[in-house]
Amino acid sequence: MIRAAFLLAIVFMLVAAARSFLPQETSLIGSGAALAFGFVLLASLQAGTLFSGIRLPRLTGYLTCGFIAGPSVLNLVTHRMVGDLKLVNGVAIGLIALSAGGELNFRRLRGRLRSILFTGGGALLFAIIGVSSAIFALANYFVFMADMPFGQRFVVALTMGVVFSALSPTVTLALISETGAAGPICETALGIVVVGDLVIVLAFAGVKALANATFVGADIAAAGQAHSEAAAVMTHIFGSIAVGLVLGLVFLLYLKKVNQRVALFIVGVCFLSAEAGTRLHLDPLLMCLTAGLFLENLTDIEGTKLVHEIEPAVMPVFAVFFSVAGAGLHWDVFRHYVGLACVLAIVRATVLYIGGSIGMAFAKIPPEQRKYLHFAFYSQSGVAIGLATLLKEHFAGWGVIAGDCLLGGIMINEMIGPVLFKNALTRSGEAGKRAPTAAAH
Amino acid sequence: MPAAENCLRRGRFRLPRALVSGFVFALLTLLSIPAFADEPASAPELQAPSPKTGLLRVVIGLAVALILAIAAAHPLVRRIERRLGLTVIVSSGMPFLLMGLVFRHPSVGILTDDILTDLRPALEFGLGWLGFYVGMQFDVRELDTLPEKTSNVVFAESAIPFLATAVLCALLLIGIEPSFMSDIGSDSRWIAIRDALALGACAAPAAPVAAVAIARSAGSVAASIVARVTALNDIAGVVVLGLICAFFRPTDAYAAWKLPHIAWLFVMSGLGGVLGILSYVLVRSSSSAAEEIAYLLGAIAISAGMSGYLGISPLVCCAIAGALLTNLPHKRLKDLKEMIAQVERPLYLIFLLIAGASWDPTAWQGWVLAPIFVFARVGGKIVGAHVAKFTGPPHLPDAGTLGLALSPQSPIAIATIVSYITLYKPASGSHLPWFMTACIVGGLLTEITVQAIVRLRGGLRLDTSRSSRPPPPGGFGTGVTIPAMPSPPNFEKDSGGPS
Repeated sequence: MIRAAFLLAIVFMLVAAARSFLPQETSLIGSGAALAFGFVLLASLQAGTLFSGIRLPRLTGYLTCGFIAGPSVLNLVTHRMVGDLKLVNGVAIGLIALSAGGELNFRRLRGRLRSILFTGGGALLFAIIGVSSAIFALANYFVFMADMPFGQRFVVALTMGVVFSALSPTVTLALISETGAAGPICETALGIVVVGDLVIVLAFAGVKALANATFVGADIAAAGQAHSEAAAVMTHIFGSIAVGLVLGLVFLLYLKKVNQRVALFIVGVCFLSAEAGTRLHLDPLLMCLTAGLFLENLTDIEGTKLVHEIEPAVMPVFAVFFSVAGAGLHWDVFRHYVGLACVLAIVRATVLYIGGSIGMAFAKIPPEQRKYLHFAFYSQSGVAIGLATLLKEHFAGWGVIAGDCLLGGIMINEMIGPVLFKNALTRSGEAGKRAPTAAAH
Repeated sequence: MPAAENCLRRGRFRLPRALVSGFVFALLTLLSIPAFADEPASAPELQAPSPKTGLLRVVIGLAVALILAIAAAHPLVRRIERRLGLTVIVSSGMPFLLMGLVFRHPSVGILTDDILTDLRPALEFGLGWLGFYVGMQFDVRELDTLPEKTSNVVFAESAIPFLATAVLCALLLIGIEPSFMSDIGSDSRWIAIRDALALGACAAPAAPVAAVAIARSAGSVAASIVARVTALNDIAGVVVLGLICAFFRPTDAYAAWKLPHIAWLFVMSGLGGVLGILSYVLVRSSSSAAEEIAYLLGAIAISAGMSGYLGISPLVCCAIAGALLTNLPHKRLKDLKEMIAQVERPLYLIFLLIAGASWDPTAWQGWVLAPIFVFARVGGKIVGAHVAKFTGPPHLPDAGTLGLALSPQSPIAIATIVSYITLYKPASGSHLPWFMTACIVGGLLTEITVQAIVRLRGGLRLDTSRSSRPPPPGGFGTGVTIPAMPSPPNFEKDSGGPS
């Protein structure tokens, strides 16, 4: 720990010195991104070691390090650098999804399907209804909703409720990797967050269409828009699945026919497909997840071995991915909406717990698992941030403030959720049941 | 299935190297992507392709480059290269340079101006990696094992080509562009001197292609000496580039630090030293191969970024850091070196793709400079070989063989000129692309010339397929030792059919 603290200090000092060479407002195109990448990677790994030393998730260390070094606090990593580094997201999401798909064996999960559907369904249903109701009830405290008529308030509350109910497959998988956990809680949690992600994406498309119809006003235009939204969602989901199957086939052919430099090929393809997919309105997570599921469930390729091959790449990718997420946290926004954000986070946690508990009771999950499973729901990360950002971009008026409020709440969940889930994995006894992966070191 | 298990085990053993290759590739591609992310089809000359078409074109282009880089780094390609006695510049480098040129063409529109601007981080990182690679060849423990007076060979084979090229190119530059001399007292003269020094820096490095042939004809000690000389010639080129960076500051106009030129030498060596120690502490503290990869990537990226920020070539600072890292005690140093070397080839090919895209071969001045560059360089190497034979250790092959063996141009020469142009292009002049032409065409011409002379002489056949003597212990240096490829890992399920 002392060595980690020393190295962290050295890295911070070096970068501060380099940044002092040029006037504050000057930015270098190439060197800035390289400097930021190296700094974020080294500093976050040391921060992860420090946090691990005090029994907190490394992931929280990455987030905290990014937040402190980022534009909100020290500004060693500027907005522009954060923008450049967000490109790591493509690789990170691709690898995470491929790993998740490679680990999900339908034959093994068949016994847990009921648990996943009931628990996930209960938690999400309660979360959407509960959070939306809370926002609706607090409408007078949200400046932008104060003057809205009933119908518009309802739609805005529902849209915000859907976004704020999002779970986090990335955090869940990252923590499972970090702790080397294995067992029924891990498998069920992973299934729930992956399926939950799909449900939230679908639900968001629906409420977005509804919001369009409500705020555009003209019925015909709204109906047309709703129709095109529905078509876009279908393309988004089924197109992603179709491309994912093609990717799976490509991986299969490569592994069967070439089988050289597999890691290189997978990382490159994940990146390209994620970047291209995003621009073509396809979901990289869904694409790579489908590819992983295809390999694990429909071919004689063993997904877990494939996952093992790319595991060491996970460490630097996760470190940079979550540090960038930390650097992207907006302290100035959070400061303004801290009260509302805290209320929303508490409401979300409460309704997720209640909904999850009811679902677990219906699914007849053993009490010793019930005690810990719900902790997988509280984290938020990429999906929620992405949807909040979409909200801001799509609804220029109310969407901006609504998005900022939600980002404040997401920030709380992003920091606290992983701590709770790691603790739950440790206490449940599932942590350390398999060899910890690269991300755990 | 024991055989399958064995394959898998071996596959796992090779994991870090395969993975670091993959990760660096992804990083390079990743750092280069914002342009097409932001502006999918912005090439002005194109007849407004749809954003999706433009995007797909870029994606397909980069995917093709990725696949070709994987293919070109295959051991088979290396074997063919060695059999034909070719350097990487000619065998797989030229196709990548040409591919860069094609991708750059407006009608293709894959590597547009915007994309090239956004490729800068990838370039910096690539230069940093190559710098580490060069620096890690400077292992004092290995140098101590060389015969006495080997330093004379290194000096002669670095200094004479450097001086010959710098002087001849300076004269030619003045002839081509009289303004270099007409504005007495202005900066132009210094710019001409700086440019000539940079070309001289590109003349010193030599490619280690002939070591095996020398082992056959003159013995393994001679081959070992030649291999080490080529490695040290690379370092000489980087040292000259460092001096240029210190005495011709590219960032003085806008930098917050105002230091005398000599102080920049201290800053440069101090920065390289600190980064080297940091890399060492990080790598030593790693508890797994994955962590080592992560730390290495981080150390190289931060070194390259800091150098670029301070207006120093990443090649120079990272070479200092690499040299320090390699000379400090470390149990897994050999693995570390292998890891760096393993990625060097694919990284260099991607680097050449970018260089090709940045290359403007239309200026005639570059084509005029190229033969002079070759003449000065090869002439310098041959004269240097005679001097070395006279002053160096007795184990050396004859001067003609030595001169020809050290003539093929090292890949580091192109990295050096790209680094130079990247640093100085914003501050001074549009004439810098001439040097890229001189260096690239010069490399090709050198290869043709050397191959022709070698075949005419029949004395030094760069054919490695029938080597009768084993290579010297420890291989022939980093450029020559080709690590054996692993058996591919087995991903198939152990039992049963499709699940």
